[in-house]
Amino acid sequence: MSVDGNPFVRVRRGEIKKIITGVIFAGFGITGILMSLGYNLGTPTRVGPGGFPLLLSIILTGLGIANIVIGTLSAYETGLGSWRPRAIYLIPLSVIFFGVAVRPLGLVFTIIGTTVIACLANPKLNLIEIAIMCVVLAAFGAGLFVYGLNLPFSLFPD
Amino acid sequence: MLETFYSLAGGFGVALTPENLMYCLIGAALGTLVGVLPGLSPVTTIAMLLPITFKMPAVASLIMLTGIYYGAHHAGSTTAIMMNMPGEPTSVVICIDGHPMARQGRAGPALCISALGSFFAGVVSVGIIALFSPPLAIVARSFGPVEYASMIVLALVAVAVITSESAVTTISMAVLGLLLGTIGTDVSTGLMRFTLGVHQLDDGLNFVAVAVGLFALAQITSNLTGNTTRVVIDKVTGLIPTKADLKASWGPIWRGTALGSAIGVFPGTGPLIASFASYSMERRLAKDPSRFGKGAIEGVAGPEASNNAATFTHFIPMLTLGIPAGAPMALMLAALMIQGVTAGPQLMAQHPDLFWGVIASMFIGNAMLLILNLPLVGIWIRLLAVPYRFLYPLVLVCCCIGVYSVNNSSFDVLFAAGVCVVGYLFVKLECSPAPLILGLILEPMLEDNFRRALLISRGDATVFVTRPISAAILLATIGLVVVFCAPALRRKATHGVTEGVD
Repeated sequence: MSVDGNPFVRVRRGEIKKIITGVIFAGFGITGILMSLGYNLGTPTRVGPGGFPLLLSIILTGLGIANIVIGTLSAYETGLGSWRPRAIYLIPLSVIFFGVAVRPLGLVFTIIGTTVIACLANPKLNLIEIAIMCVVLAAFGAGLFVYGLNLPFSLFPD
Repeated sequence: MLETFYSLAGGFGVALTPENLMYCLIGAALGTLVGVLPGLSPVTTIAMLLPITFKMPAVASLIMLTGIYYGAHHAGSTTAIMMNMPGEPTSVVICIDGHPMARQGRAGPALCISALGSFFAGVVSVGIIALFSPPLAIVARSFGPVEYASMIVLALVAVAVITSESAVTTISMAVLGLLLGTIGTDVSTGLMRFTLGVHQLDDGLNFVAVAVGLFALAQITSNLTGNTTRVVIDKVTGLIPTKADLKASWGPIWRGTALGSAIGVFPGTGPLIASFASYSMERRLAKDPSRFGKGAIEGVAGPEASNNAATFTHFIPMLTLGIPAGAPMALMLAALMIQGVTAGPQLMAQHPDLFWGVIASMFIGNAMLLILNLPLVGIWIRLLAVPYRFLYPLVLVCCCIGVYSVNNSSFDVLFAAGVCVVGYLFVKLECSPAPLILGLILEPMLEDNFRRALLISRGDATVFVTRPISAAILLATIGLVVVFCAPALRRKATHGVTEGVD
């Protein structure tokens, strides 16, 4: 047996993706079961607020365990592929920046900051392009959303 | 029948107002734009524009959102033909014969036939929506809570098993979506569930934040971490197909329209499966199957018609039952719900202007798309040259502004950032997010019907299998699981059809 046609790599049992997926689902399921038990489950006739979530959590835990079992029994290893970290933290970070900054800084500076962080996620963008993107997007955002759609944003810090 | 005709005429009255015509054109043009650009999907665009539609009238918002959806599927083939790369995942089949045609200098006829085929399929399948929705809604109105609960389970399982070869994972995603849907106020008792004291969660997870995080932000992250190279053929000379082309395409267009319309009605299927089905049918029917893959016009005409027919009939479950057939429909359902419109069998009776207005706008939108895609195709091809690095900051900023403006809440934006991280993890783990978003939006309906069903049967859970219609629906659900999982178990290593975010 070989992986990706390489005869020197021996096949390990277990597909890591499936196992991780199963652990996540089972984790949600078990958390759900524990939290649902804190609410009134009701009777079969009058199902309480905890009843339906409990049912779902039990199913989810079962499916998660099934995933772990299937993953462990699978005879091939696909791995997780490459993880290039830049975009993985910079894209959420740019969104977080928007959320935190929009009230104190106003829309214009917030868009500029968000754009800079987002652009850093792609190494191909150069400084001049980033600067142009900032100006264009700030003008576009202010024009469309504040003047065009009348959304209640303040453009600059008060 | 006659009543349908009158209602449809009334719908045209709604759709032909200058305002709604404008929204229809905006939707069709935006749809064409995102359809042509790879990396921007209609779901991303609908998620991004969802908050803006809250400021619009319900009819106009649905006209625009549906326009984006069918416009994108109409235009995805342009990129497939010119670049050998699907503008939408659903037009991947068009690459097989469309791109060889382009390399032989026959890009023009390929584009023209695909636009004409799409138009024909679009008009016929919208006609099917108009004809079959009223009787279907009447049947659906006789459904009680038992039947409704079973129906929702069927839809969720269908979306889960058909879209991926790993049914356990996708069904888990649907259940996770349902579980996340229970967060917030319990409708029947008013109790706060799973909110951990965070009052921003009292109304449940913000659907827009989840949709934007999963379908727009996570998509950007995953696009930026992948490698894409593009080869563009930008010369189009002579759009007019030859007489032989037209003769060869007529049959496939007809058959594709019929096949696509039939397939599209079922939740979880959608345009991709329809176009694959049509391609394999045309290949089997052809006198000389060896031409396929080397620029056979039938391989463009059939799948493209089938793709578009399925795009439209995919609306039927949402319009008649209030049960979305896929992720884009789930987002449109959310747009309606936030406007205070309850989708379901009563939609047609309670909001005839909305229902028939949207259907009429689909006819008009098809005509607009024909113009946008035929004479103006050159403009869109030039747009293919815009690199993704200029597009994603724009999408990102629009998403942030949109999510924030739903409740003027920074919490929602931070929440979307969190969903983005989780969504990227799901992409890496090959967990399709479509079943999750469907579960999230269908949870209140499912729980309500489930609890009412048990109340009526005095706590007897066997009611779901003793009522004949419900039993038939659940049997169909089990049948689906068996049909789609049995081959997957046999040939585990091969990959099935992956619809992705559609």
